[in-house]
Amino acid sequence: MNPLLEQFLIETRDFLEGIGEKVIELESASDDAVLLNELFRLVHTLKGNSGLFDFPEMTRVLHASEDLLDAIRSGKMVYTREVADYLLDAMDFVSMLCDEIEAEGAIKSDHAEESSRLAASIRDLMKDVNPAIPPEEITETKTTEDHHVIAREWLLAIPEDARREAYRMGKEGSPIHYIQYTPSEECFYQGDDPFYLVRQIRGLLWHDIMPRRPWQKLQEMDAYACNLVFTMLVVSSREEIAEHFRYVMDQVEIIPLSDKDLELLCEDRSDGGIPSSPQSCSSAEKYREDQEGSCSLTGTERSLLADILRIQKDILSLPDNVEWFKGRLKAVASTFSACCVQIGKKDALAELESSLKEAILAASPEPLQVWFDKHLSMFLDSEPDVEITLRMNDTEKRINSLASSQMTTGHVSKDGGPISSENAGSAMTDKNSKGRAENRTTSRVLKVDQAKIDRLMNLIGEMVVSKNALPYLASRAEDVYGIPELGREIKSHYISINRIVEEMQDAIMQVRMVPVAHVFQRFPRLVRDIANKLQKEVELIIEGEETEADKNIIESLAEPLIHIIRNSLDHGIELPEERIKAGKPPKGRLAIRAVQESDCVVIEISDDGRGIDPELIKLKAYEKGIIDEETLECITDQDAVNLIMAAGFSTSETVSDLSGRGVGMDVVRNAVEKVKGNIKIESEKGKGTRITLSLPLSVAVTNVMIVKSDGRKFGVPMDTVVETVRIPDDEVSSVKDKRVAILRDQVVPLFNLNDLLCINSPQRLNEEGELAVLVVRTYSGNAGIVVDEFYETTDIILKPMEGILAGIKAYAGTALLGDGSVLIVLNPKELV
Amino acid sequence: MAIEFQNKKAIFRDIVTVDEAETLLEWLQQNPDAVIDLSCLSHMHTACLQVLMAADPDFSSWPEDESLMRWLRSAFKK
Repeated sequence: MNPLLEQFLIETRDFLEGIGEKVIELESASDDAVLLNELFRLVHTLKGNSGLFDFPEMTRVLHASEDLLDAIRSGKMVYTREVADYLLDAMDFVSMLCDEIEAEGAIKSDHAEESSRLAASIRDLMKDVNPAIPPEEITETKTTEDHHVIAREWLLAIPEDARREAYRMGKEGSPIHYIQYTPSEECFYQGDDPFYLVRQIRGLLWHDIMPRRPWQKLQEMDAYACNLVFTMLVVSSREEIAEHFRYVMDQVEIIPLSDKDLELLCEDRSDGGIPSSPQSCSSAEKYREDQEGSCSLTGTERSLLADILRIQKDILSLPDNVEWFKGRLKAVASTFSACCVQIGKKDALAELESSLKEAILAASPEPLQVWFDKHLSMFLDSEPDVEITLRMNDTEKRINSLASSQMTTGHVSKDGGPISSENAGSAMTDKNSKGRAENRTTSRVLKVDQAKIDRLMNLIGEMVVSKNALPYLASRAEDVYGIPELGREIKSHYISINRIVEEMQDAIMQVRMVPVAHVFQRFPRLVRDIANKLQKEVELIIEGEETEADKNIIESLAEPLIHIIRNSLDHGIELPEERIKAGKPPKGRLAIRAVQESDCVVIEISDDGRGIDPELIKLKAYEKGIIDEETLECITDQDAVNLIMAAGFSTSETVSDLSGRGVGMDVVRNAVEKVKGNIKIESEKGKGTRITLSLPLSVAVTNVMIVKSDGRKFGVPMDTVVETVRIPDDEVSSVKDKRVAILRDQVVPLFNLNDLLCINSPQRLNEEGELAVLVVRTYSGNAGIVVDEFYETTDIILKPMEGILAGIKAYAGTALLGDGSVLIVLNPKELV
Repeated sequence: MAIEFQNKKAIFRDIVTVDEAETLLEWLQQNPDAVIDLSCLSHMHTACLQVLMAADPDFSSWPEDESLMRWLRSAFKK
């Protein structure tokens, strides 16, 4: 995809999110002018951006929305819930178009109708207000007479061939327009790219880009203050041009040129005496010959001439030790010759030419100076000398500034003499302004592709692994090669490398951290929509949006949270009448809070709805066969509530049957557990429900315990391990065919790891005849896994299983160990 | 980055965005005798264009895109 388009899509999504937020905020504060302005600005910019591409469907809807907001902003309309509905619909439509552009690269043509319908319905809202003024009428500000005067001046700058082409096309009846586009200084901050805009215009005959003010010194330049003006001669209708520039019409002047204008201009130019088109050229030539011999300059022209001459003289007196000296002499001579022609003194030209040759040969400005002094009186005629001397001063200044500006832009090589001292001066200013530039504090935010960060993550993962190889190496140095000193040294190096790697890992983690606001920001809209649909009144409270966690975790949160919120609204919060009957305020409360607790993010979603009825859950679970009769009798209410997350509990059937929750709660649990989080539900019948998700801050590193069974090493994630115990073999009792052990008055079922993995060998006992039991947390309580031996715990980078293996739930994944071997990490919850 | 800064040479590629204007300006301030290669350029943001215009550097080659080349040559009067 075109990178420009890609950028547009990213930005558009950001904008849409912002717009959605503001639309909803405005519902409760419809008279907040600042908010309204912000909303308008967002829609306006988005519309402008969409106009850069060929997405009329999108632009149309946005344009209508913008007009609607403008009407509200100017007090012609009132912001109502209806308005909000329409705006949200419009933004949903735009968002859908974005998805389509991303998937297909373009918008399907069948959306045009929908787009028109939406735009029309938005405009319908405004039908009581004056219809929007078409853009053409706004731009008609200056009188045509004014335009022509300006245009003539500018047209003189247009080269002959373009002007001739324009003349020809104009004669044929094509509309010719002169366009001057002066982007606002802040236009870059509004996302405009004027150069892009002008490049797209059709029917271009001639164009030019110029600074509107002389350039500042480069050291002081502000790259983000637009100082350009674009001028164009275009064969196109005014409507087309207005359409092209419609987002910046206030910065564009469109001047129509009739062929008559062009013809007039031809004559104008010959009056001015500058050679132009062939036909006018001949007349100009004639004119000039007529005038020859008689100098008929006006006062202003004469003083300009004096200025020009004086500057030439100053140039001649500049130091001559530069490599472009010859060019300078030639330039001065041609200026003199042009001046001679202008005042009709052609007879001095021959002498000038020989003086120039002489000067070049001698590499000295003297011959030209002599010529100039000799003919000075000819140029000045009756011009009073006094004026020239007076003007001297500022001319000098200009020359000096010219010289020094050349210095700073580096066009002058470092020669000796007076230049180098000047150079030193400008170097000083260089330094000063650079110091200023460095001192300027700018907030710099990098937008980095996630793939790059992921790569860093992978690299640091590898680093952790190779770092972990050092202790192995140290022990090998001691045990295998018998050099304990080397082993110690390796260990001390390991400690410092370890510290750096840990810091680095931490730094990269920080980069990946995003605030939960990322996910939370869509909730106001979600809650509003669902509440509206269910005709419930809900107050949403969001707290701790700034709490940060790893991007992957935050993203994996979105779906479960939406699920929970939907459940809360659907099954938890009652209808207003019901609430009043129950003695609660008619408006329900839904609170979402995020806090960071040590290395976890805790997200709590609570409502003051009807809560979950444990009795109903128990019965349902029993019916489904999730719990047996015995459990049904003794299960606590709290445990019963947690049953709604059991796999198989929530089927579509239970949704309609149960008055409480139950929609896809196992999906929620799975999503949370996938990122190694926990979920807890507390509920009190009639009072409300609280669901607490606790998630790790980062998923990158997993702490595992290494165990051995049948000579093979396996990893067990530490977050599932409750404890490790040694149980004498004779203390293991049997219940039916199951083996159990009593641990702190609790019955814990035991499973042999070898049996679970279908390894055909018995579990080994240690010398004291004890079993090594790893007590792990599972869905149905704690369970003991009997292994052969325990080893240390270690940090690993867990890589999930891929391909066919990904389907084997008993394994959480694999990891590389420091000695280069692959460790298979078990998933005890699925294993048992 | 769509601009590759070499010793005294900057090579512009594909689309040079608004974000690059500041870097470009700083580089031009430090390399007043810079040479710019535009042969692989397809678009340059206005902000970068005006930085170049203000610096008025030498160009070793113009964009292949003819219309872009004409625009730029008219801007730089080259």
